[in-house]
Amino acid sequence: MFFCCEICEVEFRNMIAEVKRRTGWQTIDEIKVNGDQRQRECTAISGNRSYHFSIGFDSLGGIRIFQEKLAKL
Amino acid sequence: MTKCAVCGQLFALEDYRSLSSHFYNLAEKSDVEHVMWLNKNITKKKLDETALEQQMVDYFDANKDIRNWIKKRFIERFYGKRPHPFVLALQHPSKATLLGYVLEHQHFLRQRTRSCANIIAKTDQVDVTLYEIDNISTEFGGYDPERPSHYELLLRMGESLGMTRQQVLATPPLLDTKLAIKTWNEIAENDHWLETMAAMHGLELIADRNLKNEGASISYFDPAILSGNKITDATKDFLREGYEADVEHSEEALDLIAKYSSHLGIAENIQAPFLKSIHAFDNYLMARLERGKQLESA
Repeated sequence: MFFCCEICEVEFRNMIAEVKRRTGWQTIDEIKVNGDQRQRECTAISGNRSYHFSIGFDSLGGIRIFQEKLAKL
Repeated sequence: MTKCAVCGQLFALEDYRSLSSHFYNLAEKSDVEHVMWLNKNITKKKLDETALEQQMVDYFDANKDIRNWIKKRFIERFYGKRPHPFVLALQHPSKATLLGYVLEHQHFLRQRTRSCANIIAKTDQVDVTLYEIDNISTEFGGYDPERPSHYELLLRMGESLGMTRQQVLATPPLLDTKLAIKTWNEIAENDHWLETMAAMHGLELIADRNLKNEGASISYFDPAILSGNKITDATKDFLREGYEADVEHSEEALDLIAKYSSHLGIAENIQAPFLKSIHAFDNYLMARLERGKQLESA
């Protein structure tokens, strides 16, 4: 994967770790990301399961806000 | 613009070619801060240097009207098609949102006083000094029991929402509030007094209700909440004070900035610290929201 800068990489890793922690999934096949730098609206997909959430990061790439949108399937 | 808004590197007046080369080269090296600045202010797409230079010209050319440039960039950032999430939350704020405001804003107001004091320490202009004294008194010192400061009104708002003054004052700032304060402190300590004025008083545009007449998509909050019964009286007192005072504060500051940037020939110098300041402010407003969310889920 390619990132524009290291902060984006940190954000991505933190996001993946948080999604796996909350869902219990071992793998994530795809992440759809919309929104802007203040808050992203995302959907994570693993097989035939999807998980919707919004996420915001602080200046160092840590998760500032995480909200589940719909119950995971 | 004579400075890079990220690292402060200096360039000759209107040398956008060198400025864009600077950003281009650092983006090629994936420098975090420069890449993020380009993404947020110019474009997320990779451009060649010529195209980037043109975008920089379009962004920074104030057409000899620095006052309108400041307002335009501020509205674009906070009151554009996607208003800042904190402003959206403040339209009809929850108790948690307001308490988040209290807990983070106390730190902002204390830093603001230090920044304004730095302006007084550096300027030799009487009208600037008098303006800053008035601003410090209004925001922090207060005049008399009939005219408490914004700081005092903020603490009273916190008390009306169930948090004691001691609890508020004992709460340290969240990370992005702390980093924003560091940015404002550095600007105040290191930059020209006029640059500090632009950086600090440009922020008062957030509560300027007249911005709706200049293209802002919404106002800081729905003014109807001042006459309803959904928020406490102390909250109304705090919001009303900003609603009424900050229009004058920001307009008078812009008058002084326009006057002295012309007299001193440094209109372009103030663009970088202003942009750095609103970037910090953007993150600081998110910290207010973050605090509110923490309180909601506690």
